[in-house]
Amino acid sequence: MNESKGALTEAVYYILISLYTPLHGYGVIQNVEKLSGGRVKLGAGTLYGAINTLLTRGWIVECGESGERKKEYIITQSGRRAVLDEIDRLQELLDNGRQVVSETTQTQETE
Amino acid sequence: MKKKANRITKTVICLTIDQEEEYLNKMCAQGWKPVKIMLGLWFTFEKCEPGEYIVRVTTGIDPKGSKASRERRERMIEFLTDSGAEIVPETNVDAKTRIYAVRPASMGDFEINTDIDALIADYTARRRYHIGWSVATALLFVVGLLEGTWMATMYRAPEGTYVDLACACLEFIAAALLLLTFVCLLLPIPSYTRKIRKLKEQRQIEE
Repeated sequence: MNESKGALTEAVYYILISLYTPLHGYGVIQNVEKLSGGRVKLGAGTLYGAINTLLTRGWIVECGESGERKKEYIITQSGRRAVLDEIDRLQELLDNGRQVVSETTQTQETE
Repeated sequence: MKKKANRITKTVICLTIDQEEEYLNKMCAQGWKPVKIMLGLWFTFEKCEPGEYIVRVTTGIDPKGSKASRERRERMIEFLTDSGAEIVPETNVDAKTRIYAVRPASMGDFEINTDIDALIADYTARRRYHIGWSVATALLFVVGLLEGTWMATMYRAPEGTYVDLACACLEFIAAALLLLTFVCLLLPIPSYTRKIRKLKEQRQIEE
């Protein structure tokens, strides 16, 4: 994962938006799969690594335990800010990409 | 190879986790599901349908120390079992550093590390494991060699007995075995280093 103002990985982005409501590990795996239409399947190692990094960075916190002593997590204020920054960054990527592609296509069509 | 009804126990030496995983999946493809592993050498299998299960092996080691490793192991087992995998009971000399997960192939693809960062972390932990144990065996080899030499000197002395000679031989045999183990532990390190370097290069252009 990159620095706080850099790009988030797909796994981290989906984990963060899943944790707007408290979830335990497997809940996150299921929610990410649902949100991505089955495309992103988080492995246990990926989830563990990402959760640890996010806890260290203070973007998520533990918020209690569900049944069978499973830890639940929730996003923090700084985590929400990181998500908003990422949405802005993705929007910029889309806008720039679309603009360049449409301009090039128009130029080629007029030629 | 021991055989009991629908169970077999095989003695296999795998130098790396990758080889172990490959071997276990080969057995699953032939209709043998791993049910118990002892010291990373004796694998007990139970009859199943060929290709019914997929096996994944990972490290339970966290570079932050033993407390973090215990936490990692607990959480990984929680995530894996919740995802429908069974954990194969294992007894090992190095305090359960590996996690063996078995999941029905009918549940779809089964991967433990699904992003580059997790793969790098896993290979780094595997490399650290090999480096740690190769340093330990190298030290024990030197101790064994020195003790063997000292015993041989004792035998050559006027008051030396055949007991000193036997002890010297035993020490040299133990030292030779330790040297062999050291080489086996050392061999996979360059391949892990190459894999980590390749993954880091890959991360520069994709997640």
